Amino acid sequence: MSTTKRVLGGALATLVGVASALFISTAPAYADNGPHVKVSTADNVLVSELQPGRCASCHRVHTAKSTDGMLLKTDQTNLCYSCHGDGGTGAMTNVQSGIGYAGAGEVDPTTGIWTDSVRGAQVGALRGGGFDQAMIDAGAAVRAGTTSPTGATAHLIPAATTPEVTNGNHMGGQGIVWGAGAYSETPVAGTALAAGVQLECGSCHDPHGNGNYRILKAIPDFTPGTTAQKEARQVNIPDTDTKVYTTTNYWFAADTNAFLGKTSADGSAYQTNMALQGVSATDPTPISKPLLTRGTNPQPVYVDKYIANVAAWCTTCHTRYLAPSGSRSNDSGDAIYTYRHTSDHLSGGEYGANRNCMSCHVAHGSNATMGETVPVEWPGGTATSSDNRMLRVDDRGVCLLCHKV
Amino acid sequence: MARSGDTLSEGSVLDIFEGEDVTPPTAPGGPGGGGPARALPDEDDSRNRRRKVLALVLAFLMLVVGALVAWYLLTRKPLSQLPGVNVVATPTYKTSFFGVDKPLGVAAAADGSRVFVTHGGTTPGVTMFDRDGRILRELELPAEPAYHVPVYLTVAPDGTLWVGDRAAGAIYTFTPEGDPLSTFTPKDETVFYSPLGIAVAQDGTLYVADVLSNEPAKHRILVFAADGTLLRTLGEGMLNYPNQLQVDAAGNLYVTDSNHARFVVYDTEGKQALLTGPGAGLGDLGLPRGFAIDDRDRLFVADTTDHQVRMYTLGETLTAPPTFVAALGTQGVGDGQFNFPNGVAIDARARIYITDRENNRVQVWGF
Repeated sequence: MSTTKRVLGGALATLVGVASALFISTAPAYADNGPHVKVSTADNVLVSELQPGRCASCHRVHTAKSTDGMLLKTDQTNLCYSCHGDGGTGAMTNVQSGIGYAGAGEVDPTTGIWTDSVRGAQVGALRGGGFDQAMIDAGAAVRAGTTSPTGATAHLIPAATTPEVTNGNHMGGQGIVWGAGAYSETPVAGTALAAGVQLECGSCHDPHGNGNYRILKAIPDFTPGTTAQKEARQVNIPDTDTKVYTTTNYWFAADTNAFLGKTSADGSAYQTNMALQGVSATDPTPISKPLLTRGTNPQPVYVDKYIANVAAWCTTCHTRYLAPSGSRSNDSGDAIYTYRHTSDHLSGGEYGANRNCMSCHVAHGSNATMGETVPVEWPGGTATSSDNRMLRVDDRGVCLLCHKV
Repeated sequence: MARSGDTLSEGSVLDIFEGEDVTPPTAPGGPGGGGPARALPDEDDSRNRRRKVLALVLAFLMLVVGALVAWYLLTRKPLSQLPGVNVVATPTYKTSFFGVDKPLGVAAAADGSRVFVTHGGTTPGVTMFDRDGRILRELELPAEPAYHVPVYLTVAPDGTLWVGDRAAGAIYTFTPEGDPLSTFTPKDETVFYSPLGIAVAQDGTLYVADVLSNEPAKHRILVFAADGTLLRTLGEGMLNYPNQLQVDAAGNLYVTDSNHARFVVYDTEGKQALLTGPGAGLGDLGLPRGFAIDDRDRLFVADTTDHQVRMYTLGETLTAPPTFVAALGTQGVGDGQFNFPNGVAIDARARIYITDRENNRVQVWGF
């Protein structure tokens, strides 16, 4: 083969290669459970379908208003609020005010299955609370056994009562990643976010979908440590269940459909309404039991792994809060987080997730009030705070939910 | 030409129409000299004809001007909006209405005297403005259920206001002055909805964009007769958060299929056609929400994440793609700038109302 032919052949191969690369690169990526992809249900499993044109809902290649991923809006939060805010008309969840539309149905109290064609939009409080308001009945829950003051049919606090969040503006601003870092870093209690760095929706969620529960990032932003440490700590929580973001009773701990189609460790089928702890789905009375306790059900209560894994996920950043069973009497070696309440059961086994982070806290914002200021140890010293620490119940009433006195 | 002091009989105008010679006498010493002179008969005829033509032209022009004045007073539209005049002008920013927290939907009375705005902020509700942007009242929503999220609303051909309440799963009607009338009730009590857009046709047919299901594949358009009978369901399996609706005089239904980034139309047979869709071009859609079509087939679509309102002219046929004309506004907080526009309405005066959600105002544009 002559040199000329070789050169021509090489050029042709390069041309074909470049053309192929261009073609492949323009093929849209698959995404699952992202807010901007089509989702359909098959056998009770969410399946995402290709929607190539959806990119332009948030991005512009040539006319972007932001340097952040060529987004159309400089403020990522407001972009997300377009669907998930007070003015959002493109999603079931309003994380700004902490309400959600539970869809066309309600939980059948006998089967625990979310049924369709039942009256109402079923507006309910989001389990994660809200960033501006949280419709959590935080004041009533401590009075276990009493009737909810919101009445027999209302399961969230109406906006007229202005249940603004009282945990401060932890999103969109700078702050401290409490409990971040290894024990060896004592007495540092947390890592301050660098100047100019903001906690935003995308810090924890992947809008393009990643197969994780609530499209949570396996490694959230601000996860401390080296790349290897982060990767070792990453948490994948497969999301294969129908989502129910709201609850008609705030103390319903888990998606009632989380157990559908699953088999427990002993091979028996889960009870689909296991999370209800024997309380009627239509009974608005706050239950007196903590989330996912053993309850009174004669059958063993197995928890789904993703519930337990929430603790693992939260502690990818708040590392020192990860406390396995026995931590209350075992010195962790940390000057501040020495003895701790059990916060996880990563195995997800029997009774495993009765004390995960979400048992006491919400992720977005709580309207619980704190009447007392308390000294809080933080990097370099202590500070007094009346911040509610995103607890579910007023004045740390979460303690009383389990430890009734 | 008659001058001051010339004599012209009271019946001279009529005389013109009668063809009488009313030429004033020529002054002595004038052209032609000598005594009083009269024009030649042929010249008189010619002059008379010219006068007749002139008078007819003047009368016609007066009629036209009168008609224009009457038309303007009745419709208060810019002259560029004359029927038959096909000038594709683009609107400009005029003013804004303030006092609403996260405004979402907007509807206007045909004469623009009342403008109704839903707001989804801390306390969701419906605010009524007058034509100058003064808040007249907050509409009274039913006490039960306690939580409301009204999103889109429409003024029906008979002037009544229809408001969709997504959270309550209800549709309320109000008088043109904002007094509560009733809650729409389907005849079939097993039919429920969580409404976004609503539209009312001339015959009272009600169209409801229903997003009750948390599965977008089940989002749909419900079509009710005026008596509440469910006539048909449109779009199930083809829509994803349908937002605003508008029905034309022929019964064709236009829909912003928001999460599909599409603008579609359903003909009277219920057949769907895509008019414009997603993309990154100027005339393509990102996240369309509200829209309005005026009587000149001009289409205005709020593309909320692009912070613009896209203007098109509809095609000559129902399914023909609209022609993109212009993108109105840019992102920002100044006059004519948007931060997540959502709802669009247009009145008979061609005033365009656009809810500017994150700027907490309603912008008014016009020609």
